Amino acid sequence: MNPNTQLSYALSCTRGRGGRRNTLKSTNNYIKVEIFLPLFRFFWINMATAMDGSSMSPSADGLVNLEMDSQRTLYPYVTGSSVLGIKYKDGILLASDTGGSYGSTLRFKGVERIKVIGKHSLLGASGEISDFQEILKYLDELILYDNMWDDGNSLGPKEVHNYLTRVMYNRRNKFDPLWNSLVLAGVKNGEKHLGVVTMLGVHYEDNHVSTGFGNHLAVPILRKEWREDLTFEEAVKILEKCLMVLLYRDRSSINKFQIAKVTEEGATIYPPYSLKTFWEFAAFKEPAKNAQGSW
Amino acid sequence: MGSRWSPYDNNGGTCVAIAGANYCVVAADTRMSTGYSILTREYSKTCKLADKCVLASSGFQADVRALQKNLSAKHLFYQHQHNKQMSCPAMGQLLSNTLYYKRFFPYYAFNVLGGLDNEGKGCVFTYDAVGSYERVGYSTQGSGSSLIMPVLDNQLKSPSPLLLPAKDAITPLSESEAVDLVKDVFASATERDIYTGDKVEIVIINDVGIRREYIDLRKD
Repeated sequence: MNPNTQLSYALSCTRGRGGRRNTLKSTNNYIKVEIFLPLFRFFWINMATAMDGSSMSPSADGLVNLEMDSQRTLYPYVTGSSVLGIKYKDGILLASDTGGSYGSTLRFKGVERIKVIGKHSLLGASGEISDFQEILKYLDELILYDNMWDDGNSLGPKEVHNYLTRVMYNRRNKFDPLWNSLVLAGVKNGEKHLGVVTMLGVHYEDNHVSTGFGNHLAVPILRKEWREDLTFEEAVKILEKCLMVLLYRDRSSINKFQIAKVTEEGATIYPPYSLKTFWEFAAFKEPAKNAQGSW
Repeated sequence: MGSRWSPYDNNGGTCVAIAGANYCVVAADTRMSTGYSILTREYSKTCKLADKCVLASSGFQADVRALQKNLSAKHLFYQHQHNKQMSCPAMGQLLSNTLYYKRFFPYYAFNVLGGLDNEGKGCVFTYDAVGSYERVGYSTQGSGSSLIMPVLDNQLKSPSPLLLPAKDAITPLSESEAVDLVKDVFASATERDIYTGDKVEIVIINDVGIRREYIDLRKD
């Protein structure tokens, strides 16, 4: 290939998109450029004899899919819906429902999506449940090593948040993300910390956070009603209002919730409970009345 | 299978920097968004890399944070080896090299580096995502850059870089006039760019040190 076509090929290959669509056909038929997803490696492969016998047909978006990269997460299977978090006077409250959906089927109804981490933190997750369980394993190991130092120090929520950010970002760099949006809450030495990490490594902190559908349905309510120095009861009421809206409008949520609290004293997860809903609207009672059908 | 997973996301935001005779103003809004949602209204896009050197970056936030961490760590090494702070032009080169290092899986970060050079004059460096850079008198990057750049061009009347002898691109405006200009351009960009708003964080670097101002912007 002459240098100009090389450059235009390389340019069109950045960001992993459109790699093959607009390239000039090489006059040199036995060499084709491949960009492997592992970073910084530029391989020249002889198309006539694929080295390991795997098929290398270009996929629709232009990147070559080798059999080798079937280990990556392409889409989630069992997913949890939103997690909400809100800071109040004494600490932080997290809330989520206990459903695990398998696509459009509600497969699991008793999934605890909020867990206690160490002494000072709570972790809530939405997205792929198996990836959440793997993250809990990583954190178990982290907390174990922290305890083994036995030096009177313990990992606070800021440290755990930073650790999770690095884990999620590094998995994203390998094109094998942990398909979760995590909410990390904790109180240490009087300082409250409430943060989110997404599957791409995007992370932020705020006084009230939400993942998934909650971003669209719950955050507007939280923004309107949040104040400094909410009492526990007021904070629970706001969360229940948000959970209600999510229950009515998010099809992957169920009427079984868990609220968890973390304060300076420690973290507690309350047993699951349900909210009272109203379905006695006239249109629901006789559904066929106004919808006789036109044929 | 629909759309393929992308490792990138655009979290929006705009950054501006203006160089003066003995000061430099670096500013960025504090909104972080994804798609049509706002994730948080109070998120700083600026990072102090050295005593007289501040980086403002917009784009994909995870990459921006990783880039800032990377540069801070490299600056720490430099300080250990040379027993002094990195100058702004040196940091400018380091940033360019760091970006190009990831040429084939870029940091999706649009950067503007501002500070004082070794003579105490303001300097601004502007970058693209893969590290090509240039020293200029003023610059803007990010979602609102196409709205702000023409205004800065009009107000700051930078001389052509083609002139011989080379004329300085540094603005003759005073520090407070430059800060007022920055406030005005952000207010204008907020009107029309949905990813810009909430607050603007203005960092002013001069021979005395670094100070910050926060101005409220429209929250819609």
